[in-house]
Amino acid sequence: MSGQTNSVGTFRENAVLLAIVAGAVAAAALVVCDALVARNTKGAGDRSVEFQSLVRGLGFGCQCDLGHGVRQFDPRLQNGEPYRFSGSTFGQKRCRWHPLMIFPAPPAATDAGRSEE
Amino acid sequence: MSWLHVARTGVTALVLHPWRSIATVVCLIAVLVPYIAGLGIAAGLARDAAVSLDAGADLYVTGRQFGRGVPLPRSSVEQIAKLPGVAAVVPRVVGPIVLGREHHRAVVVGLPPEHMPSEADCIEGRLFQAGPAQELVLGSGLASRLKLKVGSLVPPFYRNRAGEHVSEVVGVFTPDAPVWQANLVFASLGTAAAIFDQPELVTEALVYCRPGQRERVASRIRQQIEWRSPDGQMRIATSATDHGELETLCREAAAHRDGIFHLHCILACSVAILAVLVTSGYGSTERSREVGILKAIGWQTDEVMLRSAAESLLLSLAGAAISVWTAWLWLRVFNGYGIAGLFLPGLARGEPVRVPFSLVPTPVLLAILLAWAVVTSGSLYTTWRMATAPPVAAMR
Repeated sequence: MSGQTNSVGTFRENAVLLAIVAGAVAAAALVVCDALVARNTKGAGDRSVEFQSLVRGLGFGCQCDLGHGVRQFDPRLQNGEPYRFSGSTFGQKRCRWHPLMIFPAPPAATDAGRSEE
Repeated sequence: MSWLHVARTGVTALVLHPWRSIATVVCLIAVLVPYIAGLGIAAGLARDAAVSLDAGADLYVTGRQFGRGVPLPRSSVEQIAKLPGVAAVVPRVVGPIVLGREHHRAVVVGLPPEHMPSEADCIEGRLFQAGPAQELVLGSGLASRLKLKVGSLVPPFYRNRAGEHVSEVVGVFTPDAPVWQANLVFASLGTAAAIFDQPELVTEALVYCRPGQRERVASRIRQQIEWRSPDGQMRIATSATDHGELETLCREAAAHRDGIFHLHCILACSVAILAVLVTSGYGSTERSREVGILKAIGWQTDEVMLRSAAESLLLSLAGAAISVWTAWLWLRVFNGYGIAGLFLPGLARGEPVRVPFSLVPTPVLLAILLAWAVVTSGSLYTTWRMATAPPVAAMR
């Protein structure tokens, strides 16, 4: 009886071990395949290149329109404003709209974005 | 007993307390899935931003008055093109407009139709063509909200001294184009000028320089190019921004954003360590008894620790593997619903726009390491305390 319990226990342990290892290998394969597919097939990456070559480079901020200031859509459009990145992590220069804004709010004196609020 | 055999008993420990193991894995998944998904979106955005920069010009030239940026007269574009070292100059109009009864915000982009292909894979329909007809290519989000499709006619939505015209939607950007297309109204330079009623102005000149000439051309533009009105009463100077500055900005901004996200995740991880401590403590009586028995039958403290470390490693592997799969499903199938808004707050939920992501190996490996650190710090200390206590005390 004890031998039977032991063999059942061993079977379950093996199954759990196999499942964990297989899951980890599958996850690793997923990551590698995702990277390879993105690199080798015509897909979103090519769409991105094609779109950017059509509009000649537009957008690299976190907003999809100019409503929160041009800087958050594309700092290249902020005519003549300083481009230097000078945000402090939790300082006043963090953009008020969102803590994960890609670009900190520009200095108040030259803030074109805030005037559009 | 060999080390491998001792490590193998980690699986026994894992199976012996299934609920404790499940609770630990759930804790890990709760922390790791947003972490992996967030880093995936950050990597995807950084990749698209790099493409945007690469496709851009060497110099961005705009007008300047009273120390502020202003549009540039079209005649300045011709002046810039004549400068030595300049390969090409493309005038561009970019400006905001509001459309529809619900005041949807859109971005008008106008470019000369010359040198544009007639079709593009990222557009359903076709591109606008040269001529008097006002043809528009709309972003997928905007088209969806305004219920416009290829062939739709748009009644005049702007004011122009020369009169307004009906526009035709000739194309819609596909949802898998970059997110910045979502609210775009892409048109010819003439159409954009008509929309803003500014036939003689452009918002910027995109300057492409010959190799090695970028800095010299930038300097010449700043010093030599200016526009004066015929009566001499008005003057517009120019400012030129270098591509190199933008590359630096892009790198620094992406690092900053990732840093902020990491900070949030570290906070979440510290909570997870406490949660794992609690889940370990949940079965501490059984674990204590188990360790006491192992010590009583001759196991050494390091063997008990190895058993616990193997159990932690397996739990972290299981948690990390499930998290990677869940994060991938979240991003691929559900388009990052919920988390995409953290990185792209301007993107409305349910909009037909592909959220960029890239599950690069480094963050995933980091996540596995993090999972192991969380589980180990949550369980190894309690095991060590039990293993160093006398067996009688541990079994009590």
